[in-house]
Amino acid sequence: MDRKSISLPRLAVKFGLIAGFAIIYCAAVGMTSRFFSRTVINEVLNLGDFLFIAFCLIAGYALGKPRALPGDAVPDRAQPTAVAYGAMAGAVAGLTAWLFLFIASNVELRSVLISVTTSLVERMSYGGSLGSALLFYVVGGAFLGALGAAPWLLEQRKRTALVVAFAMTVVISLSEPLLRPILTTVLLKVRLTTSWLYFGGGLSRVGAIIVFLASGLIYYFWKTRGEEVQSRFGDMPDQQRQIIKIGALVLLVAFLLYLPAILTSFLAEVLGTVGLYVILGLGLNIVIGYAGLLDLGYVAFLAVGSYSTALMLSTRHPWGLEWSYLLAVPITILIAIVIGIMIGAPVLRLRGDYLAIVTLGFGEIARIVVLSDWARPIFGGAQGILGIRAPELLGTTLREPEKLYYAIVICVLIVAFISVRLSKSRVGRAWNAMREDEQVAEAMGISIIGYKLLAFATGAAIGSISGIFFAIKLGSVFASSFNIIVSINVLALIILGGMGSIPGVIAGAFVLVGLPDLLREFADFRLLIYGAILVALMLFKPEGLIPSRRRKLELEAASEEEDTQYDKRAGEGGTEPVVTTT
Amino acid sequence: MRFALPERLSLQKIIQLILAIVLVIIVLVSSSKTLDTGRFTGAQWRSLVVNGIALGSLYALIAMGYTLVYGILFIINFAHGEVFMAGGFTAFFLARTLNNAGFLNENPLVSLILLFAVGMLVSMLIAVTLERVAYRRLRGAPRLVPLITAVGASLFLQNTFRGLYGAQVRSYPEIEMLSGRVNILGADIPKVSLLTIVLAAVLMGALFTFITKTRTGRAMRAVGEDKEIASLMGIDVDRTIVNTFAIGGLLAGAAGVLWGLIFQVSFFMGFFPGIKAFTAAVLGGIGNVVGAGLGGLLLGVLESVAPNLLLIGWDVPSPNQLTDVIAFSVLVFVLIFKPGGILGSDEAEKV
Repeated sequence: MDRKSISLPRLAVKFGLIAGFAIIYCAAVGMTSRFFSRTVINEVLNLGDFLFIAFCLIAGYALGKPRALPGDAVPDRAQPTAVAYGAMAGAVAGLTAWLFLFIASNVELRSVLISVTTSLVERMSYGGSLGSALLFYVVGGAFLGALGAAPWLLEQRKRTALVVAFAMTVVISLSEPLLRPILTTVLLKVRLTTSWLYFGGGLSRVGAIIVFLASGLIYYFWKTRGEEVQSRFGDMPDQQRQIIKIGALVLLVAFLLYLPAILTSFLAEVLGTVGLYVILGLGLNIVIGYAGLLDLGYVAFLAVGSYSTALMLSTRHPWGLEWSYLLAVPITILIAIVIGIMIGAPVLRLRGDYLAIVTLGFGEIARIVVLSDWARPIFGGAQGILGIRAPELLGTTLREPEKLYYAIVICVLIVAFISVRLSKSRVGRAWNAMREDEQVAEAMGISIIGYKLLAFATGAAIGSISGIFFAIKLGSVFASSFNIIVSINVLALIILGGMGSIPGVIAGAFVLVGLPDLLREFADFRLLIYGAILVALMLFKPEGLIPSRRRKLELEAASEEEDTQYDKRAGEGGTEPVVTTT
Repeated sequence: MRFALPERLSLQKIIQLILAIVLVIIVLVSSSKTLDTGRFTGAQWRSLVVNGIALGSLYALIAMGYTLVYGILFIINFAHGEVFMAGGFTAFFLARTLNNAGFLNENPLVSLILLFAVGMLVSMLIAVTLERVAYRRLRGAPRLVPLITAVGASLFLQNTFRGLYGAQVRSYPEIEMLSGRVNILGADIPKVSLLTIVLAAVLMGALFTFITKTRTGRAMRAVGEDKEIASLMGIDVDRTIVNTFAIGGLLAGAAGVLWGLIFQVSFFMGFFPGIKAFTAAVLGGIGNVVGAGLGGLLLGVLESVAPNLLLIGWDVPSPNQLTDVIAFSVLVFVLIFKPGGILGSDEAEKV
């Protein structure tokens, strides 16, 4: 108990400093000034100010969390003093942020740090002098820090309800570009408008209060009911459970197919892009999630799919093949499989991280060769290949986003089905064994090279399908579309959702591909955020947000045998280093 | 330990042999065809080689960071290219400030020392922070985990510096002392290249002495051998790992400033040199300091000479566009024929 009470002030300073530096970081990379123009709550709060508020609140919340020495039971609620320490953390964060402001207004930083403009400094001092800004930041930070720590005084259910309400308000406000058009269409049918909820690019004041109260109360009162339902569902016989699951799936699919009817054409296009990334994600998921092979050049297969489709179908290519899709699609997939095997074969005997670099190299080689003067007669260099004929299906031409969307959804369903079946098959189990321990798997008679090549070829085939759609969608292909960022993007969405998890891939694609398209303010910082997400997930939640059931079971089994935590967690990360030095 | 059947191994060996023969024949035929055209004079080939050595020295300096970290932690610090970028990019602003003040060309030597000091310091700080924040918690985690972390850290750093310093490509102001060429042994060498080669040689020599002779260097090798036993011997493992990252960062920072003096700097400048330096490290035998140096030089020369030597004979237009293809092909061929690298052990490491 003694040590704990002594360490809290230090922890407060530490968290305060971290939050302060996070605030400075956001200002220095230009996030803050970009976010000022985005409304969270109309006339009350914008996203730039929200950054400061959020970091102070988080610092306070992190500090308020009750701690105990190893071996002691962690109390559920915090002592009232925690609020004071939370205030201290917030004040430190505010002071740190103010110091940055102080330096920025006295030293010309603009020539080096291009985002630290005078207008940013003025905006961040809220029109007042530096002295008044100091007061504002320290007192404001302390208040927010205390506010962040305060929920820990409540019992767990109330506390979580508060956090959920806060998070939901932010999420619903930020999804305005997505939700508003949908709600407008839906509500119009019952002769309502959305102006009570959304106003001026964010929530209206009334809307914010409604969302906050509604989500908090719903969580608070339905939590017990939700648990009840869950346990009842768990008690059901397997057959009944299966029926409910399939029913839910059918509903979901029906909803997905109905979506374009209430969407604008722009949203349909965004959803189509998300769908393409879901296909890519499912393909890479087989390579990384199932077989444990880190492929950083996955974009190469997208390129193979697009370019071979383009070559066979372009009306403006010197070859002038103009074959039918019935012929082009199987040939494209076949080419992708062959190239996948060719890339995989030389390096599959080697350690996993070599594979990552070699695939990365191959991805770049593909782009460079396509762009070079040497291959220009075939691939058209930077001008790409134009005039790809859209396929005709059931009497219509698949070109408009809405029609393409249906085709993509159907394709996603097929690929997802194949993925599920594969993971439960003999092949899937072999991959699993190989991922966990290659040598043991080999000793059990699993042909490592064969299964690795199979994983690579399957991934390549699925990636090329996505490439076909990509070519149809644009009607042309350009080498600049196939850079490393696409590979990283797909990797990030798999990791976010959880390696090996199909719902995870879908959710990951929505979050990482769909949202940045909708939230223009974030688009500039998309890669920055991807990087941060990858690092943070690997450090704190390596199994991803929606881990596959098998992984979850593995992790549970692993935590029961604490001594061998790491051996069991192959493919996952842990938090404790094996080597400890004292 | 290997469980594969011997028959399969021998088949593999035969395929390797055939591939090797085909490769040698292609190289020989292409080279002789190119030399027959006589498009480049002997002096031009010589200057290509010297440029290659200068470029290779930079790769070698960066490769040290990969190989040192790999030798101790057995992870590929994918973000090392960004460590290199951080130093070179930051030092640009100092160079510009010094130039605006007129100091740069009045005291070029002092200015250069300042530039290197700042570049190396920034890179070192980034490398050490990276270790502390991203890698320390992951020690002993499965291999995929730190690798993905490294990819994420690389992306994060790249875009952080893009946000901080902007997306433009920048050139260092001209330093009169370094412009122009010198003639050594009949070869016309740009002064910057000479500085690069000399400085890289000095730094690598210093590193080699440091690792073999000093206490800290011996501690690094001991930790690379066996962390647990090293810690029993009274070596502070955490501290030694930090030292390793710091040294790698220092060398990368120096390479970054040199890169800026020869080429241009931008937030993306670390990506390709990073991959190529890794290739150099693999080429020389990863984990091996001398090997990384040799691998860097070899790759630099290959990159500078090979596109012209191999492709001109076949009338390939603008062969230098395919430079990176050659670098990556080298990586692939090394991994096929001698995965341990030139100086590494011959066994293909598994798992």
